[in-house]
Amino acid sequence: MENECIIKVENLQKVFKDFWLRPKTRAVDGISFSIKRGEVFGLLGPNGSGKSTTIKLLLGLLKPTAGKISVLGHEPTHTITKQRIGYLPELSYLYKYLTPRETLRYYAGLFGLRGKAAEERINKLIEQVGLSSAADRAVGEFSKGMARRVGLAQALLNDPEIVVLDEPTSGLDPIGRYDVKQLVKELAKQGKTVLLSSHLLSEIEDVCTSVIILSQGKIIAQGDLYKILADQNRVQLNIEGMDLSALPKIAEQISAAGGTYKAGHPRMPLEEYFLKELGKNK
Amino acid sequence: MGASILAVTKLSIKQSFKTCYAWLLLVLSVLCIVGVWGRGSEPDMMRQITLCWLPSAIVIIFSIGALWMGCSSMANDIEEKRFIGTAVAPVRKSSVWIGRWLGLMIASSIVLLVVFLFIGFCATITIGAERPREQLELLQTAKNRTSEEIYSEILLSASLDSGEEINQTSELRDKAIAEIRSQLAWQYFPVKPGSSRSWDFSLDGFGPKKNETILIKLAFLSNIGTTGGADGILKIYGLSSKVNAVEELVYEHALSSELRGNVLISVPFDKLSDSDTMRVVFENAEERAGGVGILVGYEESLQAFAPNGGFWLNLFYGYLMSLGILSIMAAMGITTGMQYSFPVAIFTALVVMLMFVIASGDAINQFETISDDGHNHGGEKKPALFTETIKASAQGVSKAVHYVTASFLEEEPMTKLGANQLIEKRRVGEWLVVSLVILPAILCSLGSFVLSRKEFK
Repeated sequence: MENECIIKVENLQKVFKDFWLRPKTRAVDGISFSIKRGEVFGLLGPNGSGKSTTIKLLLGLLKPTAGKISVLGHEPTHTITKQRIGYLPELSYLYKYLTPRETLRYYAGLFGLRGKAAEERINKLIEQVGLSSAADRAVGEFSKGMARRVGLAQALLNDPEIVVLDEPTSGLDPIGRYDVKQLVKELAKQGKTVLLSSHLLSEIEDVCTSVIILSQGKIIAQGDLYKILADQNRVQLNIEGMDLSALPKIAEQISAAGGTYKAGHPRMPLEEYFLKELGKNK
Repeated sequence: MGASILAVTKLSIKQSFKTCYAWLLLVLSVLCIVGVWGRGSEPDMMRQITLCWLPSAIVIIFSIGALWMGCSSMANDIEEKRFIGTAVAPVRKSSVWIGRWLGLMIASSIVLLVVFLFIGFCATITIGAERPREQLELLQTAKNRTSEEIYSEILLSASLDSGEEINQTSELRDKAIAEIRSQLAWQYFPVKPGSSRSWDFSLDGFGPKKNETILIKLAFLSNIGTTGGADGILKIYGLSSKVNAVEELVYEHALSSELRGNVLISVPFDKLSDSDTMRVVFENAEERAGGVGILVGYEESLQAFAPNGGFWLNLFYGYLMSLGILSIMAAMGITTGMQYSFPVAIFTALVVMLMFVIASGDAINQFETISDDGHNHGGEKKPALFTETIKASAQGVSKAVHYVTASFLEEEPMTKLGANQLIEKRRVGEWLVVSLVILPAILCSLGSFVLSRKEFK
């Protein structure tokens, strides 16, 4: 069941045409990949590489020029399949006159959620994305980051099997980014499949298990992230609680085995340090 | 499907109120009411202003609003990418259309209801809530008369006027008959001095109360088409279908030639309460040599109106018929909004609605042109195929539009409200079926199809 391919893309192409139906831009150029159930899959690439177009093709928002897409065994436009997908677009497009609670109620209605169950789910998500204090303010008054949080709650409203997140941390502060990463990890633990698109490498690196790297609409690398990044010629040792006077002996043994080494204290990622210091202040 | 329609409907209602659209309609309506308040001192003029012009102006404002709002709600959602959230949800495109339309209709109808209630309240204060009258059905009509017979009557009448026999060439005769058929069909209804003519009206289904009156409307024109009058007597008989029932004279009214043009006579209903048919007889008592008193215009010459229904019921019918217009406008706006960006969509919708109005107004003329063509081609050169095709297409559109809007156009609800005439229930039903069911269903199918083919970049 775990190895089941729930998204399968074969030779996918998308060519945007002009008014006279002449080919204008080849946004996606014959890509093929598959995503297994429970994977956190990263779509990586610079701006204009075709990440968002690929996602929109997978969601049925765009129609492919050529190629095949299967999502949960159906075409992306299949109405019932959409019930099992959650989507966070690259920018949060919300109705400014609605509050987050009203926004979520609207989307809950679209997904057929009603009554007490819907209200409980909405309250839980509002709390989860940290909008409890602003749940009844109009979205139009929100900062970009807060609007992003509403979008995130909207994407998770239907408890989807597949969560598609397009640049989920754009506009978020470091705490928000950290929360999103934790959320993605939590979703992965729950066995959900996450498709994450970003041009922020650290984001992908932290949470994804598999990636494809796109450039000009083509896949230039793909596979298991650990395998792609692992340097088979080097070994990393993280030692804790050792007397530093023992270090020359270890170095001697490395040299004797024909290896070279660099010693130093590992650096804490800035994000981790920032959150640690912020925690102290609180 | 129901849950998603409900969700979109609620969104649309919230949009109408939270974006101030509904409140703006209310403010504009208040401005209209304040603008005409107190104008017109004559009761008839007051009635016309309060129950015809005012609601007409308000319905026009609401219609433009419904078209604009329907258009902008969809087009802006798509353009500003807010629709993406809905497009990825398991929702049929038709549900989105229906939800949008329902929401807009509910919001508009709530505000319009408030406005109509206020208008009704104002009307009862200023002119009183008099029971509206319904036109009695004319049982014995002149419709069976041929245009040749009418021509002969006119000719005879003209001969009597001039005192000598008038002979026309066959060409002039044909032309005159064609003219009668196309423009003056059934309009001349001469009653010569010393002669009389009767009209039978059905009283079936009418229940005027005691002390109420039946209104008889006569239209006098002279034989040259100007406003005229005639000395004469108007007699009203009550006829009953009961066995051995006799024709009973219940009312008599002397008419003087000084009464010119449109003349209104009130006939007490008391003595007609047991009759199922009312016979109106006009006897021309003109004594001038060669003088002719003529009742002109078949449709307009003699009409009878009896109180029926209630003031508020009539206002409600007017309200329902107005909702039909809003429905079509909203439906048109939403459908074009699904296809184009807002500026293009609103332009398209306005052009379509304008064509709709022109085609509906022109339809009757088109019918007549078609029938005339059948008679008047003669030896004239036949028009080119292209011209014929264009003409046929225009006439086709015109006919279709007229067919769709016939029940509304023929009922003219605001005019009837202003004239204190009852709006016919059957016509209200027909119009609501067309405007709230058939047309929206067609536009919904079109809009949903367009939306399902659309890409969201």
